[in-house]
Amino acid sequence: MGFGKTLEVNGLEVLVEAPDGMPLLWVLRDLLKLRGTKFGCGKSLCGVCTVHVDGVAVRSCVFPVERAIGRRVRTIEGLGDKGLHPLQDAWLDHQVSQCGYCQSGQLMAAAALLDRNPNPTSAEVDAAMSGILCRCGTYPRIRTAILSAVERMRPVGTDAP
Amino acid sequence: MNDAGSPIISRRTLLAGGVGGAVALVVGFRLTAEARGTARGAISHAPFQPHAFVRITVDGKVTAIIGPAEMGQGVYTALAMVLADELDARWEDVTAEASPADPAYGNPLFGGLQATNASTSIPVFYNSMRHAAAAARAMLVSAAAARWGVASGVCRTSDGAVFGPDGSRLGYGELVPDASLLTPPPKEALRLKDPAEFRIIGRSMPRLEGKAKATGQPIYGLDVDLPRMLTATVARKPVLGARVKSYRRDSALRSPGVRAVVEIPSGIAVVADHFWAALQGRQKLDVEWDMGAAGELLSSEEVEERYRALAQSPGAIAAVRGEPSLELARTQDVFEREYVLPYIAHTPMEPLNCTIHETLDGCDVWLGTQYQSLDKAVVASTLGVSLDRVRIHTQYLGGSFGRRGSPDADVVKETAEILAAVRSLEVPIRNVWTREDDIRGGLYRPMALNRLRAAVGGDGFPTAWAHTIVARSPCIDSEFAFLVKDGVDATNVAGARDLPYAVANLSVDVHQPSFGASVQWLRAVGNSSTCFAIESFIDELASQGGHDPVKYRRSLLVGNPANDRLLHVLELAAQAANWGDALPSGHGRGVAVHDYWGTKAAQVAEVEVEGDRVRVHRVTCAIDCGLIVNPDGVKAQVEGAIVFALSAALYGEISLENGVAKESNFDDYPLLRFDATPRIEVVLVPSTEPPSGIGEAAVPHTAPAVFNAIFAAIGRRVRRLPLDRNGMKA
Repeated sequence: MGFGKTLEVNGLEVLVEAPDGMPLLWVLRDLLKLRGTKFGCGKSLCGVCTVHVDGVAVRSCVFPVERAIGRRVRTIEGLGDKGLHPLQDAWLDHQVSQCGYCQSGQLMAAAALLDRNPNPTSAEVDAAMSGILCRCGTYPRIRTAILSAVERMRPVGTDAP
Repeated sequence: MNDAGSPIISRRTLLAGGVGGAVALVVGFRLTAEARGTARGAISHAPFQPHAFVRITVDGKVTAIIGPAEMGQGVYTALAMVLADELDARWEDVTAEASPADPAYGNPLFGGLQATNASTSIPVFYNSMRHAAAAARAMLVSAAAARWGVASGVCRTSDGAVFGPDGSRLGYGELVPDASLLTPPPKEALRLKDPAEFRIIGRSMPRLEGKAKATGQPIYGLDVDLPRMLTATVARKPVLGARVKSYRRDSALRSPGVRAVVEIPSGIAVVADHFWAALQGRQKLDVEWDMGAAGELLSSEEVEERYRALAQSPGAIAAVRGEPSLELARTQDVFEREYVLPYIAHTPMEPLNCTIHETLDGCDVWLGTQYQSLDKAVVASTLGVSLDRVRIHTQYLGGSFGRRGSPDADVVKETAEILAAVRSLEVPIRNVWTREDDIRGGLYRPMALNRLRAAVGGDGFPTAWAHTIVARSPCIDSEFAFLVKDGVDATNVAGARDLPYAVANLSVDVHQPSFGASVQWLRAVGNSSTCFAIESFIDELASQGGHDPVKYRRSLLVGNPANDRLLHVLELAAQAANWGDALPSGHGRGVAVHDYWGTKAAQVAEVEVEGDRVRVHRVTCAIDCGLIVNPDGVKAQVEGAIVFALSAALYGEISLENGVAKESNFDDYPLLRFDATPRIEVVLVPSTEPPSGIGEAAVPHTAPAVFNAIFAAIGRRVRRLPLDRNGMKA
């Protein structure tokens, strides 16, 4: 079996020795040592493993590594281009994290939302964020932080929808 | 077995240097003469560490060394704030780090064990931290005064420096070498700040590790990565006492990346290059279990029926006042109700895990834990090494809610057993549980059945109150047995035995049978059960007599000065929630008030019921936890507690079938999600009373407030959790 696979992760081309079917989560965590992406359920139920593949939020715990070949993978480690992403600034401003374990997934889900929809309605925020569980109950602050990042990222002279 | 009382300090503390002495005795920290000698002989750029809680380096950086675990409750930041304020450090110079497992960090409320339990960290360590900081500050002042040839009394401190009478300034870092040579002053000689002088305590400060958490830094136990480390996962016995009948060892061994398959007491461990390989190997084991020796394997329904039967007779007496039996006996219509809470699981988002590396130098253990002293003892005894050769490296906890404080250190013990079985490989072993392992792994919040009876006078107020509780005790026969007195586990009856309502005749008793699922404290311990029962029952009594629920409670609290703070939060919550204002049809408000181990809170929930659909729109909480160290941190804990409690109220249930949980992952064990989260408002009560805990204190009220609101909306009572057991759904 040829295990060698070339992936693009956070803008870098990497070669990993992983069998077909191995979830992207474990390739990132155990082979590439990118441990910001978290394991929560292994069944696409909690969303804490959320990363971007070609800009779309996916559950890396059930995403077979071979499907990521030739596509752009972005993880929490690559979220801020230089310094922090505006969402990360908002996370700090509003002191979102408690235990913090799910927050990589929350941030990646929120970033994917704002990438495709810079002015989400409340219902669109609900739809994007309700797949990511937080046992500490930081949801109210996540909502506040996303809305404040939307304001922060809004080009000058534009208004809310 | 524990290491409290051991005179040996950990190697890490020893290497960090330090001069022990009088201050150390304040907090039970002792250094051996040999250790003191080492510290005194340290070279001049060594840090200043006058005792267990603080280290200052020559660059002026201050490290708060924290015994309790950081599991999201914000204890690292809060205790570092207390230290920084009393030390007059600059906040930007302050960081926090996990202490070693050492008696110096023992929790006096838990027998001196290093345990993060029952929201005791701030109540217990608030004063210790202040004394530690005051001692360090006094030594820095002495060092500066000696340099300048002036009296200490004419010097002052601020912003991480000592200032002389002529305005000369020496930064704390510059004073480290001199201060390290001084003996800490005795506790009696310390001057603590007047609260009016606080500059940091009482201000909202950002979480110290906030940036690490927002950028995905590898700070959790599961993120530990060591050269040559192998990962294990265990096919675990479905129930205690089960035996392995057969399994396909060779199939697992042939799975790519699998290095070893070993039998350990809890099951069969598959050890592999990484987690995915271990999991693939485990799936090929095809284990058949012999459940014969496992004893009685009950369903939840069977446990509940037995509990119901037990509740008909009195249990161990937890409280008696007046003549409750007489008063009930002569009442024609005794008002009686039963309230049942199912088993629920902790489900911290970070699955359970532990990593151990044994070298010639000793054993290093990395994990998120609420119970370092036991972990250390268990690793030592399981691997047959002496206690002083085990070093616990407490990681940030990806949630815990009680689960990582197991009184038998289950995950740690299992990891040590795996390591012992593959010792010849001489590699670090990381043991990882799956979500299914967690949810099916036993150790749940106790199922609880509450039987309440009241004799009611003509005015609608109770003249007698009898509360019988049936719940397995997490403490009996455990490391925490010291919390059981006269057969009563204090954590099972808390909130009931100290009923704040004025009832002349009261009895509270408890049955603590040992059948059913294994149990463990879950955030808010027995108060989740007693508060749900009491606050539902009192609401039923109020409506029975046609009383307003808030006014009824007020009448039963007023007049007793001990209830003043409770009464105050009740008034504040009612006011903030617009209690009494008209609501649309199908909407209702419900209230609950409760004292959680010294922290007083009241909540008002507002719900909407349409058909069988319940929507919780708003929860308002007023809370008095004494002196507030970090207001925004307190607010965050209240918000989180309400969300946590809603999961239990609306969905939470582990149902046993033949002794094993039917649920296994978040599809059949749902938690509250983002879109179902209500608006949450928190009112903090400023106070100069000693600080009480905040991590759990707002959990118990939410369920009764929500169900009382459902009653107000549609006239239906929920007496059995969760909601979906009552023909309604969220």
